[in-house]
Amino acid sequence: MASTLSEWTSKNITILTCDGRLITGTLLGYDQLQNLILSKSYEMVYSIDVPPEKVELGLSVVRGDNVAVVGEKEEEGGEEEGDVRAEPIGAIVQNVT
Amino acid sequence: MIVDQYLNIKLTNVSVVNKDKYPQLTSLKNCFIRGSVVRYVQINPNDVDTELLQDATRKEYSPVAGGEK
Amino acid sequence: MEEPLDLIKLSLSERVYIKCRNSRELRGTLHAYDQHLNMVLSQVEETITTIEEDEETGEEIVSKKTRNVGMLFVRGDIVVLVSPPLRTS
Repeated sequence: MASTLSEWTSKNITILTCDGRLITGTLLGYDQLQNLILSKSYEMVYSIDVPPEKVELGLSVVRGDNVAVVGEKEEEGGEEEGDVRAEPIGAIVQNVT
Repeated sequence: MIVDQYLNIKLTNVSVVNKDKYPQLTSLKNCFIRGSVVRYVQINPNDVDTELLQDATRKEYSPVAGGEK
Repeated sequence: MEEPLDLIKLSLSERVYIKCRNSRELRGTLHAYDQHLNMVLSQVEETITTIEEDEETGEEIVSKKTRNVGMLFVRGDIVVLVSPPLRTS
């Protein structure tokens, strides 16, 4: 298949979900519907006023329907993103009637 | 850029267009975009042979359901 | 002309008007489409209409934003209506 997630298994990835959340973790498995298994996963909650908050999620499955973007996290650059303050990413206006 | 049958897109060497508003993903280099969340894809007009596209559409389009690709 | 898509076939290489979901409209030259109504358009003008309600008066404020894109692939699932060239300016 032309574009699969195979080359990212056991790598650290960040998922942008359809409702605008960012979830990071190690990709353990995936399927054709982009259901994803993540280990050591956590959500980063961004806001304008305070530094991002890290919410630990541990081992989890993200249902493919909710996945918008999967990104490969660059190895370098340290563990933490530091004090990045940003407006939360909005939900994807996905064929809302 | 790679595209599959679901129009999922895999991009390499990505950059964020509006870094001031969306700095969260600047550390990403490669990414996979689920086709279902795509609205538009902007293309450089110089990369598109419009005559070829039109001819292909006229020829290839068959009214038979599911006959494409 | 028998099927709806035959009408779109006649619009190839012509200017078309496309009404999309989420109050978006497109005007552009149609170069390709498929049975999902995925399309490729060039010299596209996109108009986004937003309606905001004035908090004090309750009046509806309609604002339109337009932008131009040279070449655009449009995913079919946002398309509501495709209008052939005659009715477009």
